[in-house]
Amino acid sequence: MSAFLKKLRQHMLIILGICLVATLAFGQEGHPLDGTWSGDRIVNGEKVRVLVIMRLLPDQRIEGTIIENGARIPLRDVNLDPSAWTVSLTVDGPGRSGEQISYSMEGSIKNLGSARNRIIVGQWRDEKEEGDFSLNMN
Amino acid sequence: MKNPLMTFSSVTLLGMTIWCASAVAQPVDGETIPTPRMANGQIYLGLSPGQKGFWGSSGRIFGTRGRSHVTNLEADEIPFQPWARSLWEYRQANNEKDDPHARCLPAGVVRLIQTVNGFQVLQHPELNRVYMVFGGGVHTWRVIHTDGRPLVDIDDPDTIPTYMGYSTGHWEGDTLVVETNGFNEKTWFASGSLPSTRYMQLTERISRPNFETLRYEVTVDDPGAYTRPWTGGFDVAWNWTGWDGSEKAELHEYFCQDNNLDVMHMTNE
Repeated sequence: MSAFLKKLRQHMLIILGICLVATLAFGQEGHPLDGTWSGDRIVNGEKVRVLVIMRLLPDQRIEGTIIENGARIPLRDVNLDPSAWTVSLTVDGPGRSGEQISYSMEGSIKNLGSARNRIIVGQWRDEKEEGDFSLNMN
Repeated sequence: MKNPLMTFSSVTLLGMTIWCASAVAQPVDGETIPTPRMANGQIYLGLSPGQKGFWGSSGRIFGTRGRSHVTNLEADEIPFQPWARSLWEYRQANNEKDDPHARCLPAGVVRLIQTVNGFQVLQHPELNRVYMVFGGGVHTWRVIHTDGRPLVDIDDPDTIPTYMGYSTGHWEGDTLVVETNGFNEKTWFASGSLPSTRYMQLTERISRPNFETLRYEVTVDDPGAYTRPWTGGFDVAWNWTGWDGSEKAELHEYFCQDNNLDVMHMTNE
């Protein structure tokens, strides 16, 4: 893939992300995970900007996508434990260059009642590394 | 009565009472005024010609206190999904301090009917619309289409979820049946901090068994937040005077956004 096409793809993903934010940014008072989140994942001491979109399905499953480094990677096994408001999920899919990206995230919801300042903080880990992450509901 | 002055006063007072009652059709000594009707027989759910007043105090769709229906579910009987129950309990434990309505954001359609400052129902059969005009909260309104249109497709990307949703109504006898979907998730849709999701569809049944009573019943069908559809309701009382006791008896001017000092008192203590 040429550099131009890669750049174009990256821009398209950003535009797609913005469109999804515009469509889904209304999930604040319903299911606490439903909506769009943005934040950082700390990898080797560096912040990696991430955008996470989660959507409650009528059967109570939660589907979602994470966008990082220009790649749109599906989420699987998204779980919310409402007794403690803890969250776990797995990121699993191809990165921007086609490499496999797999890691898990476990965190807890803070400011649950706030539609504007709700956050998820916790840790991510893969087979080799781990680090912190923080997501703010948009 | 031997005192002529007392007799004159009593008769005059009685006459004035009858005149006032006939002028605005207010009930006298527990009299029940029949439900007002249009020339075509359809009942007025709100203001009718020659009358004054508006709908005021209401109840809840769960619990049986006050004007709430005795058939309502109690809170522990509401078929919450697990996350919805935990969220509801969290809100209750925190005295509803995060209530968006207290921050002057629009309330849900049930909550608006329950909000203080009252509401009016205006029927326009010629326009195939019923308007509900709310005096409380953000002083907003709601439109119910009675032209037979279907509900919106919430999976259609062109359907923009809204605070009030999209309402379509029809008459079953003297009951207006209103179905609504297409809600956003920015409200607590009913009094008592009940959560909802975009999957919610409401079926409201609104009737007026007598002049002074609006009977409201709603079935909540939201597989996102509840494990099965459930129904609750309450009666709403007609207000003959303004909130200040004046004879004007109109919804008064109230804007939540103006001088909203309540929100600072919303704490979890």
